[in-house]
Amino acid sequence: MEPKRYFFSTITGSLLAIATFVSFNYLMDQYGAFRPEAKSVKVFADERSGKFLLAQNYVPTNFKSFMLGPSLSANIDTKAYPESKIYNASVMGANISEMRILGEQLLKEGVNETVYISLSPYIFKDHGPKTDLMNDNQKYAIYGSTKLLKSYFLRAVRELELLPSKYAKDIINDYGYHNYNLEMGCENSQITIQGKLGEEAKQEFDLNVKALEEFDEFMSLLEANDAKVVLFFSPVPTELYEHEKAAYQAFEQLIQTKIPHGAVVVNFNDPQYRSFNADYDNFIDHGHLSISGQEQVMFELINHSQLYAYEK
Amino acid sequence: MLFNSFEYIALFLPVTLIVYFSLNRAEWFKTAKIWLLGASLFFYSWWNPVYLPLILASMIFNYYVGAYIGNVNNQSKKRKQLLTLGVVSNVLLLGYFKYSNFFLENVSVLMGTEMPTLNIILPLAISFFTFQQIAYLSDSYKGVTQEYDFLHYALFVAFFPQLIAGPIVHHSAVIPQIKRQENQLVNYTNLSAGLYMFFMGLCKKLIIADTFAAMANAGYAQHMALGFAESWMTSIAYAIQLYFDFSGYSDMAIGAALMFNIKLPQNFNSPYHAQSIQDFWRRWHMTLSAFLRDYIYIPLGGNRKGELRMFTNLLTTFLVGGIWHGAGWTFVVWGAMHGFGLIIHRMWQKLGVGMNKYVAIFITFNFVNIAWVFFRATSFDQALVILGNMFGFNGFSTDINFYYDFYSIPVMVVGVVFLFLNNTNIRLERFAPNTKHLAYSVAMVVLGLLFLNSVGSSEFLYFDF
Repeated sequence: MEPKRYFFSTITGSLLAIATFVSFNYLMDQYGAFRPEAKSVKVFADERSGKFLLAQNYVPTNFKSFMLGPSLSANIDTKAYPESKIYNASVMGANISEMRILGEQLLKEGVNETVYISLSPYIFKDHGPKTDLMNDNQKYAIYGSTKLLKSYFLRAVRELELLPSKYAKDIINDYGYHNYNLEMGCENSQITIQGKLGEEAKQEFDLNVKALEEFDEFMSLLEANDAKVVLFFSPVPTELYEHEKAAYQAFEQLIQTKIPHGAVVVNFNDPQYRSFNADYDNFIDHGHLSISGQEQVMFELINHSQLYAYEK
Repeated sequence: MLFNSFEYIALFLPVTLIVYFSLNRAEWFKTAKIWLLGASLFFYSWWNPVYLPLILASMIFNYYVGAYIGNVNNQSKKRKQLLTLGVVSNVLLLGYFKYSNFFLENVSVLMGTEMPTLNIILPLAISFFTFQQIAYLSDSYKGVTQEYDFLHYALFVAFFPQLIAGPIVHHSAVIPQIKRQENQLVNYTNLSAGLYMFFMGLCKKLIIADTFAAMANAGYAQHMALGFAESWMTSIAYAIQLYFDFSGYSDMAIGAALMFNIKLPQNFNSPYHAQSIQDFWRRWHMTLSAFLRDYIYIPLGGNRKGELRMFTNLLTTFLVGGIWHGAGWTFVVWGAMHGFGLIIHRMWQKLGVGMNKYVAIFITFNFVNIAWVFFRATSFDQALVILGNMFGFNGFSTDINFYYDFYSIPVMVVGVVFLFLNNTNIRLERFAPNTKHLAYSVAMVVLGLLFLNSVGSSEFLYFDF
């Protein structure tokens, strides 16, 4: 082939191949980024990057409210109240910095009717994103990336139920509900809870100063966006709570001082929830809720958000 | 600016090429070179414009010292004094930026005091452009650089494909190419071959090197907990990562330069096929080896002053090579290991005992791999822990718990297979503008850009030098 023709054929061929690939990804629209209206988009691969990408367009288009937190709230089924249009943007392992990244993105896109925030010492253990999966560069992954290809692969594996015990269908549904029960059971919750009593718990209460500052900044941002805020202290099994009661209460008191006036606060470790927290059937382990547990928590959260109006 | 970035691939490189060849086509040859120099300096300052004056000052100083040396009478003492001034100035510059804190830390240890360290940021590419210019000064002393003008000299130092991390180019190899008239016209064969080479390098870096990097980083991050098999996997992962990362960068540099009709020297030639340490250094970072040989080993006397002196020269050369890579004792140990390895090799050669080729490759690779542990480790302790685990000091566990990524296995298999196949330089030699290479090129462009769009910021390992 004549060199000039070869060179321009290479350029043309490359551009065509890229255009074809990007067009395919546009049609697949794996993250509801291109045609998000009235769609039902699940997360098939990594939760962190998946929910971050869904927060760009799919969630803002289809939801009015959202929930943030670590794994402790990621398995709360907000789809049980579909008229409330709450997307559960909680992510396993998220700290306050990562919660804030997602929160900021959703607030920027106008998702601000009600923001539910799960509070636990875990989210204040450290500061800063734990990965680079939620930075601005990742937004371009929707056009073509290994992440996207992995998502296609896992979509096929999950939807076709090729390995259901390891890659369950609907593990994270279109409302962001991460159904742990598909991949772990709650039969041993009592053993797990009691086993935790022997472990050193002090480290859970070493709160990072910058993380607390970040929380303050996020609260200010929520106020500035006129969002109705419902903060809830994640329920802790009674035995574990009593074992570290002083530390938990000190944590709760500290966070209470940082909550803006008018925000709704639900402390699931208050005495009125004692019977709930004492029931092993409400938990699958030391803090993650079972199906019945999260149903009750969600019911309470909806009630509380309706009882109080947000006051500036 | 990184080679593996969209702004470089989609903007900087094509714009620089188009304007350069357009200016040449209009017969504005000098303007085209000024454009290329300006683009190169822009490329350098993208990292941090504060250090642009430094490289400019270095170029101006070395050029004029070199020119002055060339104009002074051969018999004059001044000639040698100027050379000494030039070389010492370059070494001091490098020493200040790269070794000051290392020096202060060691003085602190020796004196039992806590000396404050300096807040110094290592200027990008300082090790490379300093070595290149020391070579120029040395050759000026020998009288082989008189005909260069400043523009050509500056382009030789700052030419962006090789500026940041080599290959370390020799002025006699590059400046004539820059000056040659026919190189100023677009050559579609070179453009195509350059594109092919560039994307081979990009794929080596993004796909293979970065995949092994994840494993190596995981291992080094938890070195205390590694078992026998895990520590070997960690060390070998790093050996593979380093090869694909650095040779991938060199390929990208060679490819980009070729698009400008400049042929840069080969820098890697399947180093893990080496059958001895001497062979390894003829295949690994070849331009650095050539520099060390021509400007340190030979001036010290090479092998011309007896065996003991030869061994001393080898060790000295590789201690310099080690410390050039980094201001740390682990780099010194790494260099010393290679120096001793070469000495042992010479002694072995004297014995005249042959060795099976595959046994030789196996031994050489393992020696190099063990030495890389010092190169990669952040401290002696870390290196010794990993080496201890590799040699079974904590048992011979074959459990693998430190790294899980099912999806990286195919890439790792491909990477290991590629170690045994023809390297990219051979592939470049065999390049021809036909359908097969067209398909390869398109595939590599798509794969390269796919992986580029899949990572965060991923720098090259040799950027720290």
